[in-house]
Amino acid sequence: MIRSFLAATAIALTLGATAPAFAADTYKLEPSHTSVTFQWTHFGFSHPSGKFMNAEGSVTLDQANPANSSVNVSFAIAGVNTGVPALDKEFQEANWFDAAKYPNATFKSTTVAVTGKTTADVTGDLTIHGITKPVTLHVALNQVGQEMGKATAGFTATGTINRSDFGIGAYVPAVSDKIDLYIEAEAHP
Amino acid sequence: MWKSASLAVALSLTAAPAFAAETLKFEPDHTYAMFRYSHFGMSQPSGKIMGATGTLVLDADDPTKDAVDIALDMNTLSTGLPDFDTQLKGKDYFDVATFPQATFKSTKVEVTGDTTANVTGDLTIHGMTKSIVLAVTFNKKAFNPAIFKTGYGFTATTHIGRGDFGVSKYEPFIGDDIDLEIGAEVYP
Repeated sequence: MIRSFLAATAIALTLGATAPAFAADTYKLEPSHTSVTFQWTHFGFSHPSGKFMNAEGSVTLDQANPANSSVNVSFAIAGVNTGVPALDKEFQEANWFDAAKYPNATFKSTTVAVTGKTTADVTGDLTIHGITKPVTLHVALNQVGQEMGKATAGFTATGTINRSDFGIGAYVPAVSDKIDLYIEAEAHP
Repeated sequence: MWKSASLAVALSLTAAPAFAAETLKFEPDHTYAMFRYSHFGMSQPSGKIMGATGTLVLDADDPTKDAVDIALDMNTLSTGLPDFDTQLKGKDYFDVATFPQATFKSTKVEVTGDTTANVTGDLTIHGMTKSIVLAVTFNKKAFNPAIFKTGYGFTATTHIGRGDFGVSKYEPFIGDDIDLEIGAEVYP
């Protein structure tokens, strides 16, 4: 999600020389190659993880003024995959994500701060479980180019959140409050 | 890991000094192998294999006698994309109907630090066996109140070449190099 925005920015920078007067372009996230992996600590023993895929989202890229670009992405909670089917089911319940009430997690970027040639900090509003908090993701542009004849931008992003901030504090601290986020994304114009 | 883990075993077994080695079982819901690879340099897709069975022997007196013997259930392979999972389990990739398990049996343990060891062993995937080295970190020994047992937690990492295991479809467009991150919990 965020990475797509960054993507947008990166594309803007990359294509700046050849792309002329378009005020804004829209890029779509590819759902089968966009994932959010979240990893926690289980009693300090191990680091289980889950993954959301099937992102729906788009990036509006303003090449003339990247700061006006935006990203909007949504993931279905129902699609969570931990590798433990019983846990996937439990996560849908009221004391976790409460998917019946809050079926999606969303992210909307608010600011982009370029931190390097292929990196940026992308801040935005992350909404999980009906609660919205600002989160900053560290985004790296992996590559912009042709993938099997299709223009593609690829990104990796990392970030950290406290799940209790989103009202999902069950079993803290035995099951860690801190959640590491690893995001992979591919987007096409 | 071994040093600390084995020390922990030693401390926990001080009442029974004659038994230096403890045999522990892998806990299947908290033992996993995550694999990651490069997709055209654009992104790094990942998947996970669960269903662990097997044992870890920790020897308090001689960590080099520690031993791992574990099997993972290839039918549990999940990437988050059900159609892709079906492809990966099929004949073009892991052929799980013929080769339902991936296994690792240690052959050598080399202590590298207070909480780390290099564990060499035979990794079998897709019916093909190759010797690999896992860089293992001992995370913790503690009482787990959820299951009322004292257990140990470990993390291990390595790289493998999928071609070595006869799973080379779409190389070199999709890379040969696979990152593995393994997490494990063991209990008596």
